[in-house]
Amino acid sequence: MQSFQRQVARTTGRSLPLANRNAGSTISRRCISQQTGQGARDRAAVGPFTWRAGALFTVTGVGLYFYFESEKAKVQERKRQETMTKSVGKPNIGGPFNLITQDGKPFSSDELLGKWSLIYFGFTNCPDICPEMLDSLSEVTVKTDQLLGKEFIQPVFISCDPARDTVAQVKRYVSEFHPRMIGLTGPFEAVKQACKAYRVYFSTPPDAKPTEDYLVDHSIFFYLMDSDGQFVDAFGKNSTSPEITAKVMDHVEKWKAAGRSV
Amino acid sequence: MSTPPPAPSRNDRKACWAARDEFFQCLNANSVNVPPEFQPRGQGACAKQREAYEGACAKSWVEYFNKRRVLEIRQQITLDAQQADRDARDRAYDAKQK
Repeated sequence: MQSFQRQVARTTGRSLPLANRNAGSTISRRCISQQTGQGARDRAAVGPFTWRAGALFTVTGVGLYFYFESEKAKVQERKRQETMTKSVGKPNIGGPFNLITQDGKPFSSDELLGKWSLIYFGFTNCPDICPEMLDSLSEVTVKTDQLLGKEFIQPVFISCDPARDTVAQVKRYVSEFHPRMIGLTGPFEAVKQACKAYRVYFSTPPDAKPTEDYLVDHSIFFYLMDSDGQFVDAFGKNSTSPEITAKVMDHVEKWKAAGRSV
Repeated sequence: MSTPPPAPSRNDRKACWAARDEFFQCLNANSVNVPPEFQPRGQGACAKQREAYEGACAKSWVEYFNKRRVLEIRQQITLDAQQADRDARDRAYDAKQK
């Protein structure tokens, strides 16, 4: 940087008397011989293309080029590290719960281990989104069974409307979807615990009366969990069942590639 | 503890959705954008369809579907306005080019 300043000072120091000489040459028009000699020297020195300016330009340009290249490399390295840490972290979805099946039997999250499952949270009085998604979940279950030649996915419906969704109510409801579907409900606190484990938001008031006509606002995703009970993927209502099936099969391929069996 | 009335079955849902679609089609055909709850029952072009719809669907469902229809209409109006704006700008640009 210091040498750069010195160079600039030298160039400007040179150009100042030049300008003065120029001014002098236009004023003293009488002395023709002096004017021509001066003009030749001016032509050689004036303008941006002196060897000093050229060298300065090149040195600065090369310097800036390497400076920006090194900055760019630093930024790229930082970005790469950020994405690396991102792919390492998995969403902390899933966890222990204790609920009751549509046959009135206790059911804990441990019973899902050893099988892949698709889990959907909803409520039996749901106007349109829940039944559509449960239909799609059933289709994915049927299709993956076919593709893998065995019973593969355990479809699960968990109610987030414990006040109205009694065991009998849930039994009636899930009977209209996949025959293997497990329908779970339970006391308010148990349901809340299950929803919390799966990061599902729902808005049934704790004092909702079972005879009331109300809707439950809730997250509409279903979760694909592997046989270790680990979260694999989540699907929203805009994914069609063939798309979901393809993604599930992708995950199964990766699972197999990692040396695991299904 | 009182037992809740049974939730709609698959067939109940189908019947409700069909009645809803018929009612909304009638409203569209008559260019009625006013939400039904602001209109007195038994009046207007679609009174019969409305009765069938409200009979086939739970009250909470009716409110939900009606609200969603209003939202969809609003969204369409906004989208149409944006498109009209773009078209007008395109036309102005084309006119300038000539």
